[in-house]
Amino acid sequence: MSMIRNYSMKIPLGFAVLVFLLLATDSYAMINGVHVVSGVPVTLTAKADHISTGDGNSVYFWGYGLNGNRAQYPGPTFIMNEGDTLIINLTNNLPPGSGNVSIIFPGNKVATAGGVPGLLTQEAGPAGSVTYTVTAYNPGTYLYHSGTNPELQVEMGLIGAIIVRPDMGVNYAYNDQDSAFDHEYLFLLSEMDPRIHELIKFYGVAALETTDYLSDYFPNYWFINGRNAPDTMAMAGVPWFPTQPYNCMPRMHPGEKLLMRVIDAGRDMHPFHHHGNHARIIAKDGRLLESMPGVGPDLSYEVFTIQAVPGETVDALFEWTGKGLGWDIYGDPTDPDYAHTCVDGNGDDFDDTTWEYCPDHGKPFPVVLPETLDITFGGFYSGSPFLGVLSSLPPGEGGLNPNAGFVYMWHSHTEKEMTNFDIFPGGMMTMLIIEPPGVPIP
Amino acid sequence: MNAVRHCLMLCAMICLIGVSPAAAGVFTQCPGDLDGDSVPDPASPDYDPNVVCMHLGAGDGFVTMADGRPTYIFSFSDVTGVPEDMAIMEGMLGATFPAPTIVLDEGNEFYLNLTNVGMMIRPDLFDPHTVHWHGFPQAAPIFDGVPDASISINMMATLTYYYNVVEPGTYMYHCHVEATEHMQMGMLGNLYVRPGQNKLAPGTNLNGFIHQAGYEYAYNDGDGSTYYDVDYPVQIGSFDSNFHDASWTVQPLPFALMRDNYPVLNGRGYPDTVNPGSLPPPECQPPFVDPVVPCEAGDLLNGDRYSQNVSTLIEATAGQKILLRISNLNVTKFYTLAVTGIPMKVVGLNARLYRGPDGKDLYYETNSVTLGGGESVDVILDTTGVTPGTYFLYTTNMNYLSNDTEDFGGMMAEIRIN
Amino acid sequence: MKMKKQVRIFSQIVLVLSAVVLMTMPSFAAVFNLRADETTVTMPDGAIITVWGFALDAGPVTVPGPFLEVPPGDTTLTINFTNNLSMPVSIVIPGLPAPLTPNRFTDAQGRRRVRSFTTVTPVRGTNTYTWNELKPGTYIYHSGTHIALQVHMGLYGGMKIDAAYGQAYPGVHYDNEVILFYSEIDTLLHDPDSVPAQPLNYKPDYFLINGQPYPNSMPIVDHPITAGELVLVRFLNMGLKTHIPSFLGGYVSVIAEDGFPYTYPKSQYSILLPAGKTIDVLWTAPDTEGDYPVYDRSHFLRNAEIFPGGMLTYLTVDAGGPPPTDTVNILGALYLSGGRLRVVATTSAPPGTVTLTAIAHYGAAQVTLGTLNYRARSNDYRRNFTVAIPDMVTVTSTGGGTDTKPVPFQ
Repeated sequence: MSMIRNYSMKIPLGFAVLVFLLLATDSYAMINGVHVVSGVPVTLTAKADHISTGDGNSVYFWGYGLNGNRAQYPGPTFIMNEGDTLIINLTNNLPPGSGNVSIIFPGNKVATAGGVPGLLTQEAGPAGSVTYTVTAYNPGTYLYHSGTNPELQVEMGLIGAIIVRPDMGVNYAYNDQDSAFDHEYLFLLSEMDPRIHELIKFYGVAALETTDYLSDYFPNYWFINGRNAPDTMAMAGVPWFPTQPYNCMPRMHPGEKLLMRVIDAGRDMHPFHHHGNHARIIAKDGRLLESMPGVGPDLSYEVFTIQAVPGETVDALFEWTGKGLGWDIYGDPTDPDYAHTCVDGNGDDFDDTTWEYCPDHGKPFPVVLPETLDITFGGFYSGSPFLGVLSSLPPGEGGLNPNAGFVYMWHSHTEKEMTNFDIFPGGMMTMLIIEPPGVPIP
Repeated sequence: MNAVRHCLMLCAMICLIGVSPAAAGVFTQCPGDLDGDSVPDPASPDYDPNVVCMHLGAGDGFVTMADGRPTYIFSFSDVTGVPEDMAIMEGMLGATFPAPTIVLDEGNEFYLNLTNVGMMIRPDLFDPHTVHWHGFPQAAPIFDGVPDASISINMMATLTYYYNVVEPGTYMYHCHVEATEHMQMGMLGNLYVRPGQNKLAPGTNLNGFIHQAGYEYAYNDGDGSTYYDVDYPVQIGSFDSNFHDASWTVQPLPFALMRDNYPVLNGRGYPDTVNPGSLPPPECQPPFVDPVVPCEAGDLLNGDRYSQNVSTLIEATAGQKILLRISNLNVTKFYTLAVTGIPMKVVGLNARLYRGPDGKDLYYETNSVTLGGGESVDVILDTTGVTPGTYFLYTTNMNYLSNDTEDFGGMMAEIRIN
Repeated sequence: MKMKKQVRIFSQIVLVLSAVVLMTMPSFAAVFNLRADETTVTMPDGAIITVWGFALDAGPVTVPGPFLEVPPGDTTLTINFTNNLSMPVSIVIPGLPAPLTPNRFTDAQGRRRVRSFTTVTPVRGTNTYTWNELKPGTYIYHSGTHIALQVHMGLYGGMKIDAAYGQAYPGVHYDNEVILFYSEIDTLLHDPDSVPAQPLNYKPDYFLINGQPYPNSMPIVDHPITAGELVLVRFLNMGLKTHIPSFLGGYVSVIAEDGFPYTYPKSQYSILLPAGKTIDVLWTAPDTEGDYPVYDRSHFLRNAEIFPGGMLTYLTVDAGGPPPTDTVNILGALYLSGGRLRVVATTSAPPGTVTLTAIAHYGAAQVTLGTLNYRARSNDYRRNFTVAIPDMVTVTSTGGGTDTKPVPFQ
């Protein structure tokens, strides 16, 4: 309680207003997507459009558009309950000469109706359609993508995610207590080679056969949920990304569990490194890592970098408390400006409300930081090493962290993938903000 | 000190120090250190045997690829033990690749002093630097080294990092400022923490395994299953020589064209990987002279210093257990690393003992491991019953068994069992 | 009289035993005669590519090379190798321990570099390679000389060692087996008239399963797959790139890699298959007949840039023939003194309507012993056969029923 009061004293009014604006639009909530009504068909149209990349470019792509909307990248994230049926009527509006289009659902049982036979599934012929009925027998994180010329059509953008919620409730990933979470975020990873998109846009698919762009794959844009950094951190659904409705801006409080639903929808592997702590991988490909069905994820293990494999999905739980740092992350409790308490009523070494690690309570900050002129400041630096404390910064510095949270970069550790076509920084990157206790997170 | 280095030093003094007159300068912090050389002094009243300090310089330097190509790098130099006021002189052009190996013990308090010594070859660059201890659990941003989320240190000044070392395992470290550039340029190093189990009283019974003095383990396994006789850090990496040459010659950096052509283990291509000592100081030699690279035959590029000090010659006696602490810090791709003739047993992954939450054993044996950047794995090679001889650690992405276009090179090392 | 009868029986046993020994004596040493030679392969688009590959005895050179089956229980493997190529070659099998005698040269800077992991077989020469530590699993044999060039040129092949008949690893039974061997070809590097190959610039344009890309990619199947069968799929990759075989619609149980079974199998729909890796999975053939695709999720699905092609193949599941009309049960398979195997079995079919036949298994080999005789007072079928003791015995019925048991069984 006293901590929250302290924070509001610390945060200047202007920042409080900014916070309110940022939070009012529900744009950072859970997983953005389409809530499936079981048995009610949705229409997806495969068509061409453009996306905006982080270097200011505009790239031609093919995407699935929902119920007559523009194509989007990635396609709509379908959120459904275990046992529900998702019926998709897919219509092919790809440019003439582009061939068929389809959807395959790795890990899920699908029945098809109509369409023409393709190599992997029934397809919608040019200007044609096909219907897929997907019954979600198992909860988990899944993906869908085109099964027609996938080496081209997945590259062009025909990808998407499916979240299946377990009977146990919306705050569980699976029907198991050990899959409970406080926040969940989707990390759908993909990449593009803009040369392929330009070639298709101006010359059509046959032109690709005169190049080696597919066999010697060399992408230069990398995406999380369809956007390059820094656009990953803009709000979801903003009008200047009309074809890229989703963002990736994970936030949590100390002591909470954040579920990472990681999908590699591209064709390259990506080592997804989440600074701040290890994460525990509890499931892959929509199946709990368990030694026997029903025992729970007793084969889960911790990593600091998630090895994302094309076509594979990973569910991982991330937690952070700062346990064991050896200094008080809220500052000196005897200093009135940093006054705070650590109350451990249940004997688990953590404050019962804020999850401060009580054995480190009161321990002094261990070093003297350099003088201002010797430091380069980051945009997410609050001016202070302490959680929840905004401190003075030179004019123009900081500003991206109005609640003075602890910020960590979550990104592909193939660092070339942190660029937008020759421009650093960018690519497959976002920031996790661990907000001080009491800061509302939608 | 040769003429080139002397000249460079003068340039440094004039160009670099002149730029930041108000800099606080080098300032090391190390409890128990009386003279500022980042080595705790037992005579100090603050001396604590658990405190470990290190002083790293961050700047530029040169190395030699296995085909003889001299290559411009950024990286860290080890100036621990050097008086504070000499640190910049020592660190300038002193970058080593890989960066100095950091070895710690569970329970240490680690003070890492990072001094930005500036870029001698690129006086037009003002890059700050950081250290990111990759994988440090429960990290706080101020010491995590991500420049956007905290602070980074400018030229001619020192930032001190503090780590309360709680979790043993195989980690790695690198600079995170302009990560794509600084990491491609070589600011990468090995880092590992030895477990407290090493210090148990001799005779301690670990569920049937009797600990003796001197026994070492990869983790606090509780049963001796990660026991090893000899351990080697093996860091996978690769360079794009076009990128390094562009940096050397003040050209725009080709991020979009980045394609690595020099695969390395611990900073070297085969056969230099099995040179047990430091490689000779980088020297400009035909055919890698002007105009192929901007130097003249005979130039001692970094002032005659040893800049490649980590060997990957793995040696053991038959019957011993070899722990390979494998990490990957290249910035462009995944590599698969295999061993001929001796199975690898994976016992650790990303600095965690490879077990389920209730202790279920996830260890497995294999012929190869596949790692992307930022991943690490601990494998034990049990040489019981292995015929003495030479075996090989090599990439099964066999086209990377070359040093650029030079054959019989690249990502390979040798395991010699006697 | 008695002695004469014993001698007669004894000599009969000796005769039968020798016959059995000559035909089916389980060998404890597997021996293969391999040859390395140059040949061409033709891609579905007509491209003819020069490759180097292995051949068995006087057989054809193939890429991948002949799939070798080492019988369960064998303790040594010997390859008698003949090198018909114009450069030295050797053979290594990652995963099967063997002493290596590397071959080195000294470079211009005086540094020693390895050129071959083990003893080379010179041009037009012969050599023998042996392995004395065998264990069950799926393996790749390949040249250990100048591997950056010779392996991708085609000098690789697959191998399997079962724990026992129908068991991939101890306790891991399977009904059927499929082999999918992934690899790649960079045609520019195979051009015999071009400048010497520069492996660093490796850019494959053909992506193969069992030596051919789609539409000519064929799984190697032990026998047609029927619904519900437990199929062991052996994945091998001796390309230089990672591939990701993916199943549509179903999950597989990943049970082993590189011949090492996992403590806990993993349930996945796709498999990470890096260069040089073997992975064993168990796939339960679905109930619905059809062609089930297995495609590379790394999306190497073109032949020299032309779609469709690459690493796509299908596992065909038949509904199977008419179901058996009877159920067969082996009650006993005992080896008695005097060198006799007594087989006792029952069938649910009425007596006289079916014929039961006994088959003996010696490792991977089979010998048909003969028909069983109906014994009314115990309502079973039985017979004693004078043979060497087999590992297992199968009794099949003309009604379709079948049963297999190990020996001894009671």
